[in-house]
Amino acid sequence: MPAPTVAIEVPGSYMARSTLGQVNKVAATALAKGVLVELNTTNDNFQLATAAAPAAGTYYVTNKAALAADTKVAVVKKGPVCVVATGAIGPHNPVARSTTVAGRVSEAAAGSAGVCGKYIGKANGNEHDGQVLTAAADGESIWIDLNGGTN
Amino acid sequence: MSTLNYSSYARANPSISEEELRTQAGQIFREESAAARRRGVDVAWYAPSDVNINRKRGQKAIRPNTVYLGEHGVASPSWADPAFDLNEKERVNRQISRIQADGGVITESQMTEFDLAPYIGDFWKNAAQNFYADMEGLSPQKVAAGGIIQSDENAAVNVINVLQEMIGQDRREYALLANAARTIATPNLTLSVDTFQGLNAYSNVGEGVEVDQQKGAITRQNFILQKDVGSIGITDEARMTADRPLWEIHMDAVTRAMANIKNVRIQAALESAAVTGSASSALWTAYTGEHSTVNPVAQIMVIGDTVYGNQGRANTIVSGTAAFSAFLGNTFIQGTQGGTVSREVGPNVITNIPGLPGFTWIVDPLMTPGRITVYDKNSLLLLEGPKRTAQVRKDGAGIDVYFTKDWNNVAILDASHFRNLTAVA
Repeated sequence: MPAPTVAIEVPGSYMARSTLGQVNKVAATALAKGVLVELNTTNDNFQLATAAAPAAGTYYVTNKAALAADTKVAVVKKGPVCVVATGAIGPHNPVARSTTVAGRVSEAAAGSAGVCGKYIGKANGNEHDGQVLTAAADGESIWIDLNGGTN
Repeated sequence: MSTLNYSSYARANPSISEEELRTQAGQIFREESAAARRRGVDVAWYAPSDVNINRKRGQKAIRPNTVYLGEHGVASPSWADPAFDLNEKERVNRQISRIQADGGVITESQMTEFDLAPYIGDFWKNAAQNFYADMEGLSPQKVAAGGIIQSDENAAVNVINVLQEMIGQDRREYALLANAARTIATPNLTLSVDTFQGLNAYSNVGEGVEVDQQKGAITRQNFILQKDVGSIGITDEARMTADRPLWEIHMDAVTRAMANIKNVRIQAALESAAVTGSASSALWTAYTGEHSTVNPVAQIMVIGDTVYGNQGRANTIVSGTAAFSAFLGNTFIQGTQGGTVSREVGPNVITNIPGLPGFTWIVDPLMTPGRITVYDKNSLLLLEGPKRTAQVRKDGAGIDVYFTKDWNNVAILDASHFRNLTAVA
């Protein structure tokens, strides 16, 4: 008999110990809930993290969607938060902005400048119950321990 | 309504005397009551242009070609103040005609001015202005387009009809948790169980022979309790926006999830590698001619003897649905007992098992189908340790967090008191 249905955490979910805030948002662009955003130091607004190689910066994750007209967006600045992975991510490995899909994370080399957190668990939140953490698959919702980026 | 104390109010407000206060209050009352009565009048009184009447001493002159409100007695208006001036109306009409004749366009503001011009005094001008605003959809009570009202045209006010019950919630019974194990209260996180290994006495000792002493041995095994934790959190805003009691629903869910962990833990123990001993089993549903090939009771009794030989007493059977159904459908059971027990879908605890008095059969769909485990219930322990619950308020963030912790474990005291029959169904 199957186990009771357990809800999968949606990207943008956070824990009670996570640090939240609101930051300035780039104009005329809507942001979805649970995407990685990065600080654009040219206009000092946060935007959807670009699909590019890891780079030093400030990285947060939206915990609410924002409309194009909004000037602020609610974000998780630090602590556990749920995001979407691209490519396989090994257990406990560092993550940075995805190189292929904007707003997601992918595994990064340890010590690289763009590391914004570590992969800590699957999206059903069982990383604390003694279950062995396995690698995250491409497109899977995962928990990362966000560090806010290196800047 | 409270009565205004003019004296105390005047003392509290020295800028106005008590006399002035009384005068102003009286004037406001008279004006308001007069206005209320004027609104209630349903008769208009017209003073013709060539008539000059009621020039009584002390009264205002009646303006000719003017409409008054109400009629008092004969040929006399109720109210001394006129409401509508027909001379002015004719002047406005002439002005409108002139503009139109010249090919001009009457602006919105001009039309408003023309509309209000014939009304006399602020009271009637205001009343007329409000009336025109209603007519033109400028007031809060707007006029919509005509047509048949259709269901998709007022989606914003559609009634949302939500079924009171919510599906998807776990409502299963935990038959294993409640019945399959002996519950031991365990205040310490470690429970030690001592086992005595016995000794033999000598038989048929020869005359004059002094026997050697025998001794047993005591071994101790420790069972460590495991901690199960459930936690939920909710923001103030989430509580304020849902039409379901989210907090209570999640409290219920986390409580059931904790119970489910223990239920699954018992199932895992009963089907663990430690429970390996198995009698030769065969399919209970197989037929030879007109009767079942295998007698389930005989097979179970073989197991029972094995458990008895290991110092246990087989008194409990657990299985999934298929195995118990195969048992009830077997002709050795039906034929000898003349019927079957009735049971419900889902977890069941059956005590009046045909052919097996004294046994309790726990049916739980959680168990592997086609397999039964026969055992001594006293050898399966549910170690119930401390429990802690706490609700933490993070007021700065506006978040409530609930933790429930339960230290427990399931222990097999003696694996030789468990035996399986596999592939019976």
